[in-house]
Amino acid sequence: MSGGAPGATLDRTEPEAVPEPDASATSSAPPATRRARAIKTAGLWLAPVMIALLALLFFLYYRGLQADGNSTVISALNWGDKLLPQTIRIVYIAFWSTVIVILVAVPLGIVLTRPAVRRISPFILAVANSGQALPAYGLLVIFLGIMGQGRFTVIVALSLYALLPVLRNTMVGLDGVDRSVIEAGRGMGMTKMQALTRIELPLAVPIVIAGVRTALTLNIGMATLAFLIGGGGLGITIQTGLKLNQDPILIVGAWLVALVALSFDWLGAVAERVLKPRGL
Amino acid sequence: MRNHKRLIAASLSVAFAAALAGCGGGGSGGGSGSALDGVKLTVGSKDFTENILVGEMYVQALQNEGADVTSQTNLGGTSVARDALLNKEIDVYPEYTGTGWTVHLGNEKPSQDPAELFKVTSEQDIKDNDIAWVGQSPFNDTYGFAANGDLAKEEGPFDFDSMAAYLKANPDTTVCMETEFPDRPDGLVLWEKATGYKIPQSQIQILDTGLIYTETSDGKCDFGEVFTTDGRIQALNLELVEDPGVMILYNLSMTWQDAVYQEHAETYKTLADEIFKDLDEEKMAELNALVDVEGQPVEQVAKKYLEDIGLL
Repeated sequence: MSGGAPGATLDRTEPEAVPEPDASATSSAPPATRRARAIKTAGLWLAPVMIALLALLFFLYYRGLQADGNSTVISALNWGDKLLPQTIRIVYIAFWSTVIVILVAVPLGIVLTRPAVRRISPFILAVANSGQALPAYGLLVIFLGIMGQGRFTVIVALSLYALLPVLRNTMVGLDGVDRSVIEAGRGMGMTKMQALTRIELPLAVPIVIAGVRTALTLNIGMATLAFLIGGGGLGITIQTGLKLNQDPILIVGAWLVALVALSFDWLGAVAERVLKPRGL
Repeated sequence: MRNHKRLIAASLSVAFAAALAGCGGGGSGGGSGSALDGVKLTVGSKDFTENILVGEMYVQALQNEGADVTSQTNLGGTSVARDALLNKEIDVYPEYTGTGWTVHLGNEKPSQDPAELFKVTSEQDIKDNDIAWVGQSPFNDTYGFAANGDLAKEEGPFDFDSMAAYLKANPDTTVCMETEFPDRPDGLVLWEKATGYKIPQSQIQILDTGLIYTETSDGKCDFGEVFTTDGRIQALNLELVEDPGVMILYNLSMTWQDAVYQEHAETYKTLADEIFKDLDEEKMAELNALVDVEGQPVEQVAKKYLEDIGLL
């Protein structure tokens, strides 16, 4: 059985329809849902078009700089030596730190919403909170002291930094699942594990992915600080533009970061669409 | 708005002067001059220790002559300080000849003779922008490289060529540098042209400026790009790589709005000369270290230096 559609009908017939605060996901009216869905679909198709357009503009701007930029600009914006490796590095850092975040935060979020360990969840959240409360630069320097320079240090530090949004969204998403739906599933003979994998997790997916997208965007932004501790990345180009007072260098660096961030956010939106159970 | 700011700054500097007078009892008979009685000046500086320190020396020396000085030291980066001078928001700040010639005046190929570079820079700047260059420091605070101390002990002292040879022979060694150093016209390219060795990307490690010194000292970088008068070279486990005259010269001068300078040119020039006279690389690095390594306040280090040279 697929969790969504029957759940919605059960929602209305169950006498104990508990007024959950986050139940909106399961009980929004069909016409509004359809319209929101149409808008979302349009956004899903429009985004890559906009990104391609931005990339094209970038290409033209970049070529113009190659033609009439000064030697400093051309040296700093060398594609093969500088920009390409830096872009790859930033994708690498953002990708792996987000993977680590998902591998840690989602299981942790599931465990912390089980009744047995509920009690300690505030403490875990406090630890995750402190990771984000520290300034990113401070966090990087602390990890530099522990792990030395390089990209792996950056990945670990950023994982801690972006842990909170995913952890909290996982917990909120699971908490938001209507208890009556779970009760119904249990009543039909599901084990607790089955109720978790077939009802709770699919229903929580949109909120969890929203957290992952937040983490991914945070990580791409923060990866521009990686250069401070020898992690490389496009931060080098941005900082070079700032230091040398050369706006074109700064603009190219920031533009590439924006392109990477937009592309990844779009991939997140696609993933959300694909992973979301039908009928929601 | 600006008057308001000036008023606050002026009252601050009066309070500061009073504080100085209060604790300056020990200075034996240095005697406040009165050559600049009633003169109002605003002194600026860039945003790093050495420039702040020299700016602060000038502030105190001018005050000692009776001037009413507003201190705007630690104003910002090079372009901020220069713009403030051109817009007459400050009257004077310390600037480097190499920077003046290449950045502000847009020239290439600076002279490798300090006196010659000073001459052409000051001549062009007064003609084009009415900026007067006054006095010149013996120290040359330029880009350079420092080797990790242990490495320098094992492999002998380095100069640019032997450093290049070592890098070529040991492909797994790294040089740590700041973000913009590989792209600056006065940066890595000069070293590469002189030694004929183009450092591959795999041997370049980009780090935050401050971390280069500690990471090179720890041996995590074999060489680090440094400023030759930085106090940390002496304080940490670092050994300067000898520069056979490759990097651009950066001797310090006071850059003045010429109209203001001309009113008391002789006094201003004498004070600048007195301050600069003993400031060689070693002395400057030592003073920088007092601030950066020992954490002494800039005002105190500047005052002590002025007392030592008999200006206070």
